Amino acid sequence: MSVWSDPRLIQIAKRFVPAADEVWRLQQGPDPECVFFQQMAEHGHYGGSPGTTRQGIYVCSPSGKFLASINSNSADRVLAMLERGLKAWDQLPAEEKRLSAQSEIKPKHRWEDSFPKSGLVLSMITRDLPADCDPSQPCSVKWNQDRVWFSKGEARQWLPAEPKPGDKHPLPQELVSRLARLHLVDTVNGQTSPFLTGDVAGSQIATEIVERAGGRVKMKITGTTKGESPGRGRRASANGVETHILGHATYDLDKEAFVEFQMVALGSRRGRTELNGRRRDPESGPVGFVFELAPADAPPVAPAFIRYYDVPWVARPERGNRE
Amino acid sequence: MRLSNCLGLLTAIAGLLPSGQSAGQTSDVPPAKAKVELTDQNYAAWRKHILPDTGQLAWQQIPWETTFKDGIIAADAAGKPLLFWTMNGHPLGCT
Repeated sequence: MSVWSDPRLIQIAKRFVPAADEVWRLQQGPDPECVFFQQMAEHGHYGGSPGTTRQGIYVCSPSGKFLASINSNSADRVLAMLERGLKAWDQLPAEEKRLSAQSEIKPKHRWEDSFPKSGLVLSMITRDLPADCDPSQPCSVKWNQDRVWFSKGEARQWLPAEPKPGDKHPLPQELVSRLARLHLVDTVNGQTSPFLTGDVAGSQIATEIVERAGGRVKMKITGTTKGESPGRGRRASANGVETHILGHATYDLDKEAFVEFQMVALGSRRGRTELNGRRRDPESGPVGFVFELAPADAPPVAPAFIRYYDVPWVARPERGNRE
Repeated sequence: MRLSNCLGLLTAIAGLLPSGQSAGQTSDVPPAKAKVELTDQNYAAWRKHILPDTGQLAWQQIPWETTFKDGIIAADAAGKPLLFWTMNGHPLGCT
């Protein structure tokens, strides 16, 4: 995130239409939108290497003509690339700039199409914690974010059918498993691997109703999660994430929706997964997560591991399409 | 017990043990797990510690389109080039 917090990049971005998207689907999918991207990115910094990643920052014309690209965390280098891209844009003949009426870029499938409008949509932030576990210490610059989706029906399962103060209610295991496998994972440095179902055995989350005022039900959330993997992949070691959970939420029975949701998970991570960039980090360390209601105007970005949700309300791509 | 107290105790104990390893050697003993406590009392402090501050969210000032297709169409309508950022995991959701 830091490169885009640079004021120079915020300023120069006004001369473009900025867009962001997930690369895995785009770089290998058969969808028209994906093919349009692949043809452009083939001329970029990772072009000419079939099967390798196309991560990075690109400048292109609406017609799909490649103009410049880079994959860098250096604001100076990104700025220089954007300036090169603008120069190439200025030199591009007008007839080569526009999107052709014959161009087909409409996708057949996007995970965002399954966005649970009436469900529970959380934003998640994760960050390395100070080694001495003192929250008053300066925070680590390493952090990451994700989204968490629950359908309307799943959101209702966070509380009992007829909630009253004092009720204790275990969250269904499939929802606990989703959180532990796909969200309470070590992504602080970037992408990681999810845990498998068997890796998170013993994880549990429960709510306790603390107040009911008409249709408004306040609850406290507690739990523990434990993900343990033997290490899958050539560069992975045995790895795991353990957390204790504490949170507070309010569900409105009349609106059939959460109106407040705040949950913190603190614990430790150890080892490394295939791609989570922990090779130069200590073998273990404290890590934290905050889950909160996503703002109503937040973009409907899908969770990173949406393809592993495996629930009927998430539409999947056609067979043979490995999105 | 707070971890800082634990570490102090461990350091003291370590000082009493024979030093069989020199710096740079790898121990066969798994590293101690960091221990962090979450209570009603420190909940707010940890929440604040983990959430990004305004400076770390400055990137949100950029009006990102959230798909490649939407970016292409918007760039065509605006008569501007597309600045496209793509990563493993949606950059606006998880990088």
